[in-house]
Amino acid sequence: MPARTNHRSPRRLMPPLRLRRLLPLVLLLAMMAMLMLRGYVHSEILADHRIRAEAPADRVPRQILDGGPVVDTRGGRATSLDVPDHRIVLTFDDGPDPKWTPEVLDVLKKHHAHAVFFITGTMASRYPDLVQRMVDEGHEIGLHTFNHPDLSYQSKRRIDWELTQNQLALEGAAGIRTSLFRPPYSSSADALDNASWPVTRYVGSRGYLTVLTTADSEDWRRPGVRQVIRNATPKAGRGAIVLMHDSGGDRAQTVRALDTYLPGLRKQGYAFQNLTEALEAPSAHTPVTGADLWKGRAWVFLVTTADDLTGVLVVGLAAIGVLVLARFGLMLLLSAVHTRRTRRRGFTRGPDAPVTAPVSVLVPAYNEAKCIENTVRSLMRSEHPIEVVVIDDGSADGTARIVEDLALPGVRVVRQHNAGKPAALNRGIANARHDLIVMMDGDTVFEPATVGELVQPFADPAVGAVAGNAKVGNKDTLIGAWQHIEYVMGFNLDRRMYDVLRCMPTIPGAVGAFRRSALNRVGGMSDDTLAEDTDITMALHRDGWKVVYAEKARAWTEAPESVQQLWSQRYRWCYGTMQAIWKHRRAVVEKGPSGRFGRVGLPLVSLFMVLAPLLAPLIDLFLVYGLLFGPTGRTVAAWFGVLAVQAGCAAYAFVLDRERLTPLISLPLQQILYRQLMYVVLLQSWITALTGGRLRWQKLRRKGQVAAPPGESTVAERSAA
Amino acid sequence: MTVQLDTPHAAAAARRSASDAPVFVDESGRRSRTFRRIGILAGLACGAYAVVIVATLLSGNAGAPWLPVPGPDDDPPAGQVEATRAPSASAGAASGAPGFAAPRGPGVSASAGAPSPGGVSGGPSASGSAAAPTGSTAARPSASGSPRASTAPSATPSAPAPGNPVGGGSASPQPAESTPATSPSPESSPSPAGGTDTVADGAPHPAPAAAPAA
Repeated sequence: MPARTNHRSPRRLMPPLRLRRLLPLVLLLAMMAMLMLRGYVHSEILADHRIRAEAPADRVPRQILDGGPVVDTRGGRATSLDVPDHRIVLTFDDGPDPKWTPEVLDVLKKHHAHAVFFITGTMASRYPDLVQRMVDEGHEIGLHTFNHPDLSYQSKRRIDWELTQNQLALEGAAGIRTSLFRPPYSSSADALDNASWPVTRYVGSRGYLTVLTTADSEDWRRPGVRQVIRNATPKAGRGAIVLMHDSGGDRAQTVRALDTYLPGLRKQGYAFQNLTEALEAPSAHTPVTGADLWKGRAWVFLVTTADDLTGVLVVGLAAIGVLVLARFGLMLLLSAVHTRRTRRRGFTRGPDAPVTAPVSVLVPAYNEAKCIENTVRSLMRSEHPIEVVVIDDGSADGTARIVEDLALPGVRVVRQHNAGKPAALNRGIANARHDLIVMMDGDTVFEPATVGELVQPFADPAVGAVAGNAKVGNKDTLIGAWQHIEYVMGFNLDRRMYDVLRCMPTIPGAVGAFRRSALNRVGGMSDDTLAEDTDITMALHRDGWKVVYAEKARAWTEAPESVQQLWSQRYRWCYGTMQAIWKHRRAVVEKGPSGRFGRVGLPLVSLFMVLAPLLAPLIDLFLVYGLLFGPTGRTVAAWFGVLAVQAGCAAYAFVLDRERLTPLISLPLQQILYRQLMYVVLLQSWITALTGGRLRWQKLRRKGQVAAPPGESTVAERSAA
Repeated sequence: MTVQLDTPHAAAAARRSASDAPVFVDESGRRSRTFRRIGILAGLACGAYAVVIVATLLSGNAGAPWLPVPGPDDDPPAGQVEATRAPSASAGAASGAPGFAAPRGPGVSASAGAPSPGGVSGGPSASGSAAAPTGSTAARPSASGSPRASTAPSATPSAPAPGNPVGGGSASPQPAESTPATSPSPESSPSPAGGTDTVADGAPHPAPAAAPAA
């Protein structure tokens, strides 16, 4: 990706059409097309299950009603043909079926019998090799429409379409076209009525012979092998077309019946032939070549791919389902453990409790003129002894001047040329006097007890850093409410879980405390990533320090209020987290505490924050498909089920934090809009990470720009402070 | 209040992490080009897939290749071949032999495949249309040689179908209609092939005397 420049481009009506936006859209469209194809071929889309009731037959020509089972309506005719005596044409409808058709084919082969298979396009598309086998073994194929609708309800265009698609599937499966047709829900010639006769005529006008039945074995009723044989036996040597099924249910009886029926009737002098053999006509199959053949093959390929890919997607959906539920389960369980532990009577943080040593509070600020005064004044009300160091990162709006003019005791201002937040924090660390350092943002407001609560965990000498409880201050807007829910449930419930698992991935930049010695050991803040808070936290874990969560250390931040700002913020966080995970990837193979973090914490964080969210769009994909085409009731029920679980977790989080439950009303809407925004953020982060582009917030590293490392402030700086 | 400018600090610079650029950033642009190529290929493949789906669904023809079958007027090769022809021909013997056991009524082809994910068990059950056959068979003359009239003297009593066959597929419940036996409504002239009229509705009378010879 070409590097983005910093200058503001003119506002456009639509974002420019770049590959990184176009590609996901194209992928999504292709996936929808594929799902719809799959639905079509599984008779979920465009399937018509209506069956017409019987109608009067006064408009059907007498000779047809009295005539043979093969009705020839081609070229405007209305004649029928009969099967010669001592010939039986077995016909199997609705195949091919992956389980039963091979068995039927086996038994027919064993007894050297030929039959006619009236296949549906849906099944032929999915099991083309069975159709090829039918042709190879000498059986005949006829059409039975694509989707098995009752054709008397369909328009001519729909009938044409059914025939076309059925032929297409046949061409792809076996490279032939056929001239035989049997309408769904048909039976014998005398059962034709005013509704089905016009269909027969129309199909004839397309060149097909309509093949009906003379003997219905009724095998689909499963009346028993003997009854099936009896039904299928014609009277006194007459020719017959026998109806059987190789699909649509348990056909074990059919197969067993055939094994007895075939040799039995053969002994009585019958021959089992396919239709054109019985009529002594040339084969009903016509091979196709060229474009038609390739279209058929392409069709079969499309369907097979759709089936396979949908299988993969379904596995993905199951995976994300499991992950989501597991995460909820873990969150609930472990937060309960954490809460029970920390709120227990007599809970002490460690041997050095209570911590009363003074604390340095660092406030890096870049163009925070509006908020900096509130921030600093809130610090003044702190109950714990602190000194405040405001580091002005080259602001252009007079932030430093504002603080200097306040002339508050214990507040120092340090200015530097604009070098980014990590550099500002490092400078702050260099200028801080105390050993416990609290880092916050320029627009965060602390409560009087915040600093005190934040540093109490340092009573345990193994603790290197503490994460506070960041809260959204501006939660009256909808977007603020959504972020409020996210902070309370997502971040803070998560933090309890990670505290117990000892793999807290990030200390919020808005409210975090560090031990100076820990910071020194890991080399201070780094600008290798956009998420320096995550980076330093992981570095501390690898160094063996404990990172804990102090729920009572509340800080109020100003969450972004426009979608644009929210997008920016989350993009930085997401991309920065991915950078941090990648930067610390070697922890997976290291020993000691670093290894523990690398093998437990890092995979957990990667799984839940980077990989699982990639699969989450599957939920929406299947939701949309299910709503439009599939089992609507169950889809909606499943979605509401997941929402209920989430609402439960959120309510629990709110109760733990003693928050009012009213903002939870916007939770369903959040699931529809907010989550999707986060997908796009994640997707764009992945694309940026893969293609190696530089984001505009990442500073160009100029040589010599490095601030003094923490703990090594020059003598001149120390004396001047 | 001090102003602190950045000072070059050689030792600190040496202690920087190995990479000169932030994590993932590839200044040379090589990775960008590679992935761009991959992305374009993937996009083209997906686009082609969708386009081919639409193309195959919209194209193609419904016709069947011509199949010459020995017609009813040809010499019968062996056994009986019924000829049911124009009114003047009288050789029609009834096929559809009496006493034949298949029930009249909508056929019992089982439902295709698995119509809905809800699962299919045993296909649609045809209504008890077995009540029908004997009545209608009796109404039709089975003698040969009867001139073929366009309609039977009384319209074949439509079987009082006890109920519609309950269709397969749990997704769409079948309407349980039972059509009363009425005389057919007067036909309008055949409608031109309208796309949405069902074939059954739009069909003209079968012309009584005009059945063309085979």
